[in-house]
Amino acid sequence: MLARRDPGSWMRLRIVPPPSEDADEEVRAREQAQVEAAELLRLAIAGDPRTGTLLFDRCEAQVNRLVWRVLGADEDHDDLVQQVFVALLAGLRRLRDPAALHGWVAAVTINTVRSEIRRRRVRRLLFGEARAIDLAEAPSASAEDRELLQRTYAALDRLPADERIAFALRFIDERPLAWIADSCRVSLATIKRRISSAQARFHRIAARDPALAERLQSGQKGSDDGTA
Amino acid sequence: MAPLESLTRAVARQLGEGPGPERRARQRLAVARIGRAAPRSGRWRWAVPIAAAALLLFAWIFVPPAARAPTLIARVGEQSVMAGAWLAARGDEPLAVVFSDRSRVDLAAGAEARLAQLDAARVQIDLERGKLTVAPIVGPGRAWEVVAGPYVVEISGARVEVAWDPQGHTLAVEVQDGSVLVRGGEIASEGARIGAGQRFAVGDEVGDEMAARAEAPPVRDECVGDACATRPARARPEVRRSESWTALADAGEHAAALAEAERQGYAALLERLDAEQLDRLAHSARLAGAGVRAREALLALRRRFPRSSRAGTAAFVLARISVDLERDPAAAIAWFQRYLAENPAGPLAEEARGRLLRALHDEGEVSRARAAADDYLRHHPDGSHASLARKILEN
Repeated sequence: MLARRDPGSWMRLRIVPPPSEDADEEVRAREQAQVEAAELLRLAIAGDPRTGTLLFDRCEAQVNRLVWRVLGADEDHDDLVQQVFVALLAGLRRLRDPAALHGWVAAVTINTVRSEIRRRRVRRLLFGEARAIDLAEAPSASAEDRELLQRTYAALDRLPADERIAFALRFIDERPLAWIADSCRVSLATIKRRISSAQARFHRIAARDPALAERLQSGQKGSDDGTA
Repeated sequence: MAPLESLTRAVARQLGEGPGPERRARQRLAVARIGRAAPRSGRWRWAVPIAAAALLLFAWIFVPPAARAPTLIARVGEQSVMAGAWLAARGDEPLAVVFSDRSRVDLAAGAEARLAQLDAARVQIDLERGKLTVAPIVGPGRAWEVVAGPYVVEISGARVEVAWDPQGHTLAVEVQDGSVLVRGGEIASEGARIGAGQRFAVGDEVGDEMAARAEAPPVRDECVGDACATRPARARPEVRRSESWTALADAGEHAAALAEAERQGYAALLERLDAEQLDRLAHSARLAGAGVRAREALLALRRRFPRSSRAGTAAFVLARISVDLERDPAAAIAWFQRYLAENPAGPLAEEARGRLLRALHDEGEVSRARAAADDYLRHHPDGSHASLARKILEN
């Protein structure tokens, strides 16, 4: 838009757009989520029997995805999800800030998964038990895909619990570093160290697996530093 | 994209975001029960969960694994097999399936079966044809069954041989140790219990190669000795016959789709389906681990629709089946070469050249591998198998 200032001279005006509808929608959604979380806390404190169902409806997608991605379509997935919700229901009434609900849910989920990973490592060492991935639910289950999933998670089974969680959240679930640090209740520097260590360990393990090595060996093109 | 990111993205894509809606609905019910059962107040509200946790910890530490029914793993050679896997003993070679608890199933040459269920509570083998010997390690909490046609053989002994002839619709059971209970078909609802040293046959044809009928316990309202079953007959898992195999395949239930296709008459289907349906049937068979059935469908596709674009792709898939399911590298090499001869610039050409190169290298075919490496680099100098090709040429 041009405005005439004096003859022969034009001033260009800067058009300031109105606030976007998308931004408004996002703010409204956040506010609504906080209202619902606050209501959920109120019901939990009151001991309302609907709390479990409401909590599940709000958080199951987040919990299912985290457990699924870190443990890889595990045959005990549903049991672990239930363990998570037992822990959530036990601690929900102590949550002070409704806005922190999802961050807290992520932290509880990760704690539960960490305990399970550690328990399995002990049982594997003591009793030699190995677990299989249940691929009935995997959307693509060709023989090649099945093999890739099994081998990748077999390699991840060899990582220490904290490294495995950091690796899976960063590379498979593609979470931001700050989110991972917050959910694991550690500093950003610690998460970066865990991811670097996990990467190095994963590469060493994968080098001994022909199928994984082939996938990873076509040059280390560019940087695959997950801490970027 | 960096290789690690490429790998993990592929993993994430194949994995998806979680279980399907039916499982989530069951999770919701379970959580709803927890929510309703949670004590609302009182200083003793932690007593029950703490006591339960203490008991569980005690059981986890002190109760030996053998006293529970731990997760069972099955292997054929070095390859682990999962529930739904197709087991086929080729022409003149038996096939052994070894389990992590030292149980064992041996398929005689020519036998075909499916590992229908494999979990802590139950192992079920669907015998499609031929003979197998089951030697389970008897333990608490785990049932072993062989399903053959309409019959179910419940095994509670140490060793039993089961033979099924689908053409003659005939079952033969020989118990070497322990006992079994045979149900289904025309056998009385209580079942027929077969003890150690006994043989039993039932069906349309009982010939010399089957167990002598004179030694078989009677059927039709009679039980053997005092060991008649008192449990009610357990319902066998049923294929939903009202659903076509295509509907089952679309729902991702590939083992059931294949079973339904077989019930409709697999050979007849192969002569009736169009190219697209043959492709789908082969895909389901492959996902169900049934390499033989997948190969049959793809060969039918190539024979009946040689000019179809699917016929070319079928050659590539036949090579993959040879590698993944049939462990036949020579066949895989031949099919990769056939694909490239038919589709030198096809969409799977780079992958075919790369896998051909790898198969030749793994088989120790030095000069052929070098030729394949040279060919690969000529066509795909920056391909994902290029580094292997260069390594082969340097050696």
